[in-house]
Amino acid sequence: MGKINIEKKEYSGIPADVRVRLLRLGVKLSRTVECIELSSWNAGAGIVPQEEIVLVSFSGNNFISINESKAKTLTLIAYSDAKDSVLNLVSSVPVKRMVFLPADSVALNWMCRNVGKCEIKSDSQKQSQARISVSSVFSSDTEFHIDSFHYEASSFKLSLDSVNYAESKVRAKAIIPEKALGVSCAIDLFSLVEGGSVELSPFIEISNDNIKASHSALARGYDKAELFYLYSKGLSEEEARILIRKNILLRNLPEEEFEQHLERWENELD
Amino acid sequence: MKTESSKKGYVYRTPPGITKEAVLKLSEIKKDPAWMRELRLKALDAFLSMGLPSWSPEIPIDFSKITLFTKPVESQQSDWEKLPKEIKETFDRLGIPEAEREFLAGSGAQYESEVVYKKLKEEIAKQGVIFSSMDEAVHEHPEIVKEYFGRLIPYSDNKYSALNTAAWSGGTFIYVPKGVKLTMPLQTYYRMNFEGSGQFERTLIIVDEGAEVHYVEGCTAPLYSSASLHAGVVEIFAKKNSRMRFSTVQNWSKNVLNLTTKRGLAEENAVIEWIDGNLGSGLNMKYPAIILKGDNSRGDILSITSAGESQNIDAGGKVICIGKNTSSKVVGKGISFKGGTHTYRGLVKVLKAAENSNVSVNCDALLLDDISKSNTYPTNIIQNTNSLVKHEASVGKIDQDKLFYLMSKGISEEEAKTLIVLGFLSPIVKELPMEYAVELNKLIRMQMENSVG
Amino acid sequence: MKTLKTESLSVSTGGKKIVDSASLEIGQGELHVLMGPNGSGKSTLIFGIMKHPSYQVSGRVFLNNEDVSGLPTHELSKKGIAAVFQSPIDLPGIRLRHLLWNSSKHRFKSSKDFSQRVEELLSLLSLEKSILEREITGFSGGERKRIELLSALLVNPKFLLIDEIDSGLDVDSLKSVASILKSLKKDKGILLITHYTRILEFLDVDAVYLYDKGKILKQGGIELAGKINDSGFEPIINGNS
Repeated sequence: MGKINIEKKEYSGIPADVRVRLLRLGVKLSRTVECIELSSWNAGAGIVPQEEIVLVSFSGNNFISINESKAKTLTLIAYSDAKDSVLNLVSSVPVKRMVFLPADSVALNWMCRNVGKCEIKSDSQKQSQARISVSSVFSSDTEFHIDSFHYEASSFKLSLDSVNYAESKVRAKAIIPEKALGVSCAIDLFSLVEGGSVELSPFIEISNDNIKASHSALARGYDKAELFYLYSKGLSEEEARILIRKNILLRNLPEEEFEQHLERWENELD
Repeated sequence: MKTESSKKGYVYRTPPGITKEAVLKLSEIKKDPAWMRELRLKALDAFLSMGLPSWSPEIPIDFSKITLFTKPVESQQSDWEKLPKEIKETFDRLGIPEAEREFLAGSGAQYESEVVYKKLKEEIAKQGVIFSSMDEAVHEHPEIVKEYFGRLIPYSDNKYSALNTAAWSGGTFIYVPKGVKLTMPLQTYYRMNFEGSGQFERTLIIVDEGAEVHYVEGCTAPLYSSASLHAGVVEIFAKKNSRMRFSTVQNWSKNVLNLTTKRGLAEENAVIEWIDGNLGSGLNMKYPAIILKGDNSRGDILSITSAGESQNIDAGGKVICIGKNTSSKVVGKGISFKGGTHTYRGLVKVLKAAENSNVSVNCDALLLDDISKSNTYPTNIIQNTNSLVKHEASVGKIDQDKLFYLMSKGISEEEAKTLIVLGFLSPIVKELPMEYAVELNKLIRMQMENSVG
Repeated sequence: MKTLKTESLSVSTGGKKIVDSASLEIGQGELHVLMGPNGSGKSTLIFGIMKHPSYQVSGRVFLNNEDVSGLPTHELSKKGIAAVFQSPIDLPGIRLRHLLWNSSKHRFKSSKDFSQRVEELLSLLSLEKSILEREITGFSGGERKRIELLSALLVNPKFLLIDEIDSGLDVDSLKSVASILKSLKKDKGILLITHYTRILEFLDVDAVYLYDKGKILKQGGIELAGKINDSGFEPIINGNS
């Protein structure tokens, strides 16, 4: 088990480059920040935020879960200045805002439910690669507003896979300004409609031609052919649906880490 | 063929601004029946009290400067001289003969086209098809017009439909009776109809059960209009088992602000297709919509956009699924160059009762230089558990590998880029009747000239 | 004799040097073979000579002692250098006939002459006439290679740069490609890139270059190809460094 260091700091005490990037993303904070430092491997450590703003600095491969929070609202800032780091996060509390500040080749894998109305903001630095994979169960009304900003020669990939039971909305906007040459950006939104209704809106604004951008949105019910195939292998309707949901939610996440948490959620749903 | 010597007819012109006085004057000139006049006035009230639509880019209009209706003088040879140089050159390059040029400029020889037009009308009238201007239809077929006019796009829909309902003039009326399948497309040869204004055109098309028709409208040749605001309305009713394809290509001069509200209603098993070419105007906002009301109905929207210098072309499509087993395919292809801005704005909404719906949207954009812009704003809403809504989009510049390949075969960079762009647009262009497709390709080629390399 | 010569040609992309100072000279009537393991940057040499926009090139290229280093891609083609590519290119909406016409029309007095020549080549390469109307997308590997040869032959080039024309071919197809190359060799200079020695059995080879990691390591005759065939690339490359 790796180290977790938790410390409360005033806003002025957090790293200068974090403050600069937050400002650039239009995120203004003024309160006390709960700083959590993760380094090397942490297997599923549970964290209970005490403050409304939590800065998680990580390097290496880490896994934490947030299933309880003492703060009224929660702003999570996931920050790394170490190349090739990964933050795996499972949460089942409402998250008002998730800010992702990666270094080169950094990934955020986030499995969540009960997120409520959440704003995700991310920037990808010059010449860096950043990746966000979100898997979410929309068991209650959920809204995601995602804004990503892109700088020169950066590559950014965002996928959001969800299973929806309520009235939910996902709006993802990618802005590629004039000077951001050589950007490549892919945004893919998916929702399996178990019930209720879903709105998916992937927006792009581009101001120069040296880019490669693609986005997709797919919302659908269960694929009848898929269901039939599983029935023919002896699964009951319920077992087939559970398997399909699991597939969808785990397909962009490193399976081992997240599977057990998902199974726990499925059991709770019954 | 030259015009007869001009009878210096007097000019009808409504007083400037969008006022009750102007609308009443227009109604008088048109010799409206009472019901149409009442409708215009109600629409005017709505227009004056409404705000601008929120679902659109910023629009710079001074309504007080707009003249609702102008009937031009018969002979306007002198106008040809006043045309911008680039338009005259375009006519040259597209190989449009003298007489037609004058007509396109809003003046002169209508004679030839009027003859052809009349002949077409005789042929199809035998099958009970009505194909006339909207103005004629109000007087000659009041029962049908009254039943459908404004049913799909009422004046209360948005500010521009209110303006159009109050001030409309010209446009097309088509009625195809049950079971009649027209194999040749109906075409209005030129955008400027005989009444001359073309600003607030109103088109109404009713395709009765089991009937089929393809209507083509517009002109690839650039059309100069002194009127800066064009707010048209097109309503299509496709009844059970019918098929309607509406193809438009617009290439207004850059001083024009082009807003058209187009909507089609498809009943059971009906098919509606919008093929939309947006090449001209300074600011264009057009989102053809299809309401798939009947079970098993289908609606396709194919849209091409070309946004060049100082152009902001905002286009896309809306699909609303209400019936069961409906399907829709939306394809948008846009190019922007010389600083132009291309925007795709789309809405797909599958209502709860619209079980087993299948909608797929593909929009792709090509940026041809580093000063042009491209935006996509799709919204996809699904309200039941057994439908599928899919949206895919990609934006980028011309593939360097493709460019290199063509050049390595001895094709110059400029020509190679043009071939790639025409290839990019071809899936939609080839759905247009041949002569339009050929002219469209020529036109895009010309627009791109000197913008590449 | 007319020659195509590269002088210390280096080709880079994204800051990385892929071809390092390649110098070679091919005369008309000669067949030179460039051999190297996969990923050694062989195709990039052709991209460099032909000025692919994604690459930066330094060094020089001479066509009959005329410095053509500054010329853009399409002019190199018009001057008589034809490239035959390996990877599939997707050009939807562009018909094959249209491409062929645009690349060769300067050579023909009339479109009738063009059509006649195209038909001759179609039958030489066992291609159906209907292929001309197809959009340049979705061709099979075999069709693709023959179309590339057709478009190269159509412009009657002086030099051919051929990238891996032999990959995935069975013995019969190999033989028929080889016989086409043999007849081309009579009045043209050919640089054939391959990592596979099989086709060489059917050809008359004038020079063989061993190429790895961007560098021409060794030059020799057909016996060099024989060595590669017997022992593979590695021992020879390692023996060389």
